[in-house]
Amino acid sequence: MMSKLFQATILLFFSLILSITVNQFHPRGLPLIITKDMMPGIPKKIFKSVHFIDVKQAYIEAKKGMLIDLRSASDFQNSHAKGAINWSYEMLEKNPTPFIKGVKKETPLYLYCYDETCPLSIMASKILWEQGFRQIFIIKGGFSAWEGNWLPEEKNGYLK
Amino acid sequence: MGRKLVTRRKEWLFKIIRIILGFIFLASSIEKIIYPDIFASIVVKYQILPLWSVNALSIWLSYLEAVVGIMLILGLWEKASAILASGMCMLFLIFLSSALLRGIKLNCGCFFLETSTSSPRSWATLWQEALLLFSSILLGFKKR
Repeated sequence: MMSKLFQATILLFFSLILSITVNQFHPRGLPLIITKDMMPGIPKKIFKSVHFIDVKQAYIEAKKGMLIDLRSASDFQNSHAKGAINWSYEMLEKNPTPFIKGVKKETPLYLYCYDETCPLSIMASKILWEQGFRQIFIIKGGFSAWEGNWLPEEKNGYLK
Repeated sequence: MGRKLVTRRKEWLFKIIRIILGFIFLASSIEKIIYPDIFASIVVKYQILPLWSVNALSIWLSYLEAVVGIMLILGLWEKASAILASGMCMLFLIFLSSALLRGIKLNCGCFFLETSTSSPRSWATLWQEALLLFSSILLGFKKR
């Protein structure tokens, strides 16, 4: 039994070394250590262009750029952050061109999706980075944090 | 003579289970290795691991799956690999059950990495993981 556990430990160790080594050269390699105010799943190459921003700070700063709601069109219509436009991730993933047409690459983009665990902002940030945008801000906590902080919303076309 | 035949059949059965299990582990690791960013985003949705650890652990897990899969297919360090396989299955069962108990909708991220929750996992689909766990325990603790 001891030898089996020893072999298992070697396999664990070997896979650890292998994963760290390959991750260094992987085109979508991830930073192994991330700080508290960042989210996992963002490749190293775009890490410097993607910033995580508090919802209240985003409310103030988004006026300088574009506030983008990545949720589905129906959820957006139901309610959304005041001043946000809908770039439904589903559509953005298929073809980003119609969305980014006419948007200057240096425009700061403030992205949000449903909540803290929603991966859409992170995934959209990768698409937008590939399209040449370098000022990407992900709003922490997404729309649920926006609602939770009583920030202005538009519901069915009315301001709340 | 009869006993020998039964033993030989048993050996073949274990061999088949080992190879199938190995292929399942290897296949499930491929997309995770190609798209570590998407896999990490899926792991976040389970809401179990602290966020700072997700990147490192999700990368490690993908390669561990691949290594265990290859070892099982080749029949090298069979028992040690099967013990690790059962550990991973057990961990996954715990993660999935915990997420289901908390009402979190998610795809397991087992083979094809989908972040949408159009066909979320349910208690009814846990048998697949249970079957994998049973097979790996069978291999890991079988008598010579």
